Amino acid sequence: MRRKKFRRELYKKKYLITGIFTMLIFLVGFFLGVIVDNQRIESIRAKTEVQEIDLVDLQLQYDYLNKILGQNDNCEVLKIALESSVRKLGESLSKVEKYEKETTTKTEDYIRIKKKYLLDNIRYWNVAEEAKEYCNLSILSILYFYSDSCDSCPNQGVILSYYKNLYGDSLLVFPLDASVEDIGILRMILLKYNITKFPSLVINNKVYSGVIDKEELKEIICNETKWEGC
Amino acid sequence: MNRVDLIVWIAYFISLYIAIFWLINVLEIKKSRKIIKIKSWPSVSIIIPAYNEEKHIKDCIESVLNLDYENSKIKIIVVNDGSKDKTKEVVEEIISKKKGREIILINQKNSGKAKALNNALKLVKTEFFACLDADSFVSKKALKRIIKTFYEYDNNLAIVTPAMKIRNPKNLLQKLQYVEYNISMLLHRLMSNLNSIYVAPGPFSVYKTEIVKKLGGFDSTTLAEDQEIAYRMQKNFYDIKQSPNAFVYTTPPNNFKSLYRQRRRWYIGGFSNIIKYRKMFLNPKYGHFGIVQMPFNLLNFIMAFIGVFLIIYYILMPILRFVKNIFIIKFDVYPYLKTFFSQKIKLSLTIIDLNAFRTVIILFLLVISLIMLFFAFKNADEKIKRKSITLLLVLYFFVYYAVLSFVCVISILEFLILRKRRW
Repeated sequence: MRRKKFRRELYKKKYLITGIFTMLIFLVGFFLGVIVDNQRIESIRAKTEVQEIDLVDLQLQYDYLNKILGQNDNCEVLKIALESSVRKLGESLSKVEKYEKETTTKTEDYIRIKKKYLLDNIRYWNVAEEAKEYCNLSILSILYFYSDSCDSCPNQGVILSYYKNLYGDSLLVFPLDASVEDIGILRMILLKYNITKFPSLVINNKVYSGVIDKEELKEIICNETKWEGC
Repeated sequence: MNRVDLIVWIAYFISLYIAIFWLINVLEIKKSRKIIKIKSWPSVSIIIPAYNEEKHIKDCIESVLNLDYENSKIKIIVVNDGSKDKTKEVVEEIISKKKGREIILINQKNSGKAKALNNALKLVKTEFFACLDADSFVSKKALKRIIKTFYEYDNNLAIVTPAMKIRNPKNLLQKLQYVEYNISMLLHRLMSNLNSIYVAPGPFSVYKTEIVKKLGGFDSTTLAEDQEIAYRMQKNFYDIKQSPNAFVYTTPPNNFKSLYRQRRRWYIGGFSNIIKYRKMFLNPKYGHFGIVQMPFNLLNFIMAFIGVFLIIYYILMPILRFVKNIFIIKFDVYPYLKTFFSQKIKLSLTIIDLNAFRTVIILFLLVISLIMLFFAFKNADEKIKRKSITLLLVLYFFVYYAVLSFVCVISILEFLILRKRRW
C-alpha cells in the first residue's frame, strides 16, 4: 500500500479567528464590567452623601436639645431620627458588602468608601450614646470589632444579626472593621478598651472578647436593659 | 482580584475559545459529497463481542442480518467472553435457525473486550471488519454508507466511525444521554473534517483489516481500547472519518451506577491514553491532532476539576455556611421571619447587583451552546420536542454536566492514587 502523508495539517487561520472572537467577547464583557463598577461606586457615593446630611441634621438636633434642657418631649423626636439614620447606615453596609462581592476590581474608591463607612459608624455611636444618656432612651448600642483575618468573626456576626432582627431599632449594632488602616479614632477606641482579640464586643463600656454565644449575649443584653422577653 | 477570580476567568476563556472554535467549524460544514458508484461491494466481517448480553444479543444479530447488503458478503463472528448468563445458548439458537447465513461463535474465558476482538481478528479474512457491541443495533443502510465513505477517501483511511444514537430513551438519565449523544455525533463530524477523531466507538466502527493487523490488533492493557486504537492510528498517520448518516443505535446505562461505571472507564481510559501518547502532545508533526485536539482532550479533564472546585466554592460552601449559621442561632429563625414579613420586601434587581463581565460571558456561552444544539439535532436527523426540551436542557447544562464532572474528578483521582501505589 502506498502512503502519501506523513505530516498532518494545521488550521492556523481558524485558531486565529477563534482567538480574535474570544478576545472580542472578553473585551466587551470587561468594559461593561468597568462601566457597571463605576456606576456602583457612584451609587454608593450618592448614598454616603445622603448619610452625611442625615448625620449633620442629627447632630444639630442634638445640639439644639442640649440648649433647651428640660424639654424631654423632644427626645422622642431625637429617638426617631436616630433610628432612621442607623437603619440607613445598615442599608449602606449591605451595599458595601454587596459591592465587595460583585466587583471585579477593588479600586481605591472602594477603600475610601469603607473608611468613610467606618467613620460614620463611630460618629453615630457617639451621638447614640450621648442621646441615650441625655434622653434616657431605651436603646442599647453594641460596638462590634472584627477583622478580615478572623475566622470566628462571621459566627459572631450571625448572632448579632439574630438579635438585631429580634429587637429591631432598639438594638444598635455598630460593626467596626479593625483591619482598616490609618484611622486614628479607631486606634484610640481599640487602645481605650484594650482590644487585641477579634471578635470583641463593647456594651456599656464593658468589653467582651471572643465569640459570645447566643445565650451569653442574651444574658448580657437583659442585664443591661429591661426589655420585654428577658 | 483574588485567586478564585483568576481561575474563573481562565475557565471562561477556555470554555469560550472551545465553544467558538466548534461553532466556526459547524458553520463551515459542506454537504457536497462525491457520488460514488460501487459495482461490487466488498465482504465485511462483523465481530460482536458479548459478555452477559442475553437480553440484547438477539436484536443485535438480527439487525446485522437485516442490513441492506449482499447476504453472502457478511460474516458474523460472535465472541462469547465467558458470559455467566444464557448468551451462548441464545446465539447457538440463532445459528441453528439461520442456516443460510455465515455466523461463527467463539467461546473464550472471560478476558475482556480487546482480547475478544483479537481472537476474532485471527479469523477475519475480509478486507474490512466491523466491531459491534452486543447492546447496539445497526440501521439498515449503515454498512453501505460506511463502505461508501471508505471509497470516498484514499488508502490512508483506516477506520470509519458511525453516527451513534440512543435507541428510544425511556427514563430521564437516558434522555440526558440522548441529548449528549446527539451533540457528540456533531462533534465527531467536525473532528472528522479536521482529521482529529480520537475514538472509534464500540458500536459499529469499521476497520481496514490489513492496517489493524499491521499495527498489532487491539490493546488489551487499556481500559478504553476504542480510544487507544484511534490514538495509534493517528500516531501512524492513518485517517479516521465519520460517516455522518450511518446511524447506529446503542442502549445507554439506565441507572446512575452503571453510568458511573461506564464513564469511569472512559475517563480513566482517556486519561491514560493521553499519557501513553504524550509524545504527540503539542507536537507539530501531528498537526491539528497534536496541537489542538489532544490539548482539548486534556482540557476536558482540567475543566472538570475546575468545575468541581467552583461548585464546591460557590454552592456547597455557602450551603454549609448557611447550615452552620442555623446551628449558631440554635434553629431559632423566628426573628428573621418576623422582620421578613414586617418589612416591605424590595425586589430590586438593579444594575448594582450584576456582575456584568460574568453575565456577558455566560450569555455568549449559552447562545453558542443553543446554536450548537440546534445544529446537533438537525445533524442527527432528530426532531426537537418543544414541550419537554426546555427542562431537559436546563438539567443537561446545569446538573448533568456537574454530576459528570464529579464522576470525572473521582475517577482521575482514583487512577492517580492507584498508579502511585503500584510504583
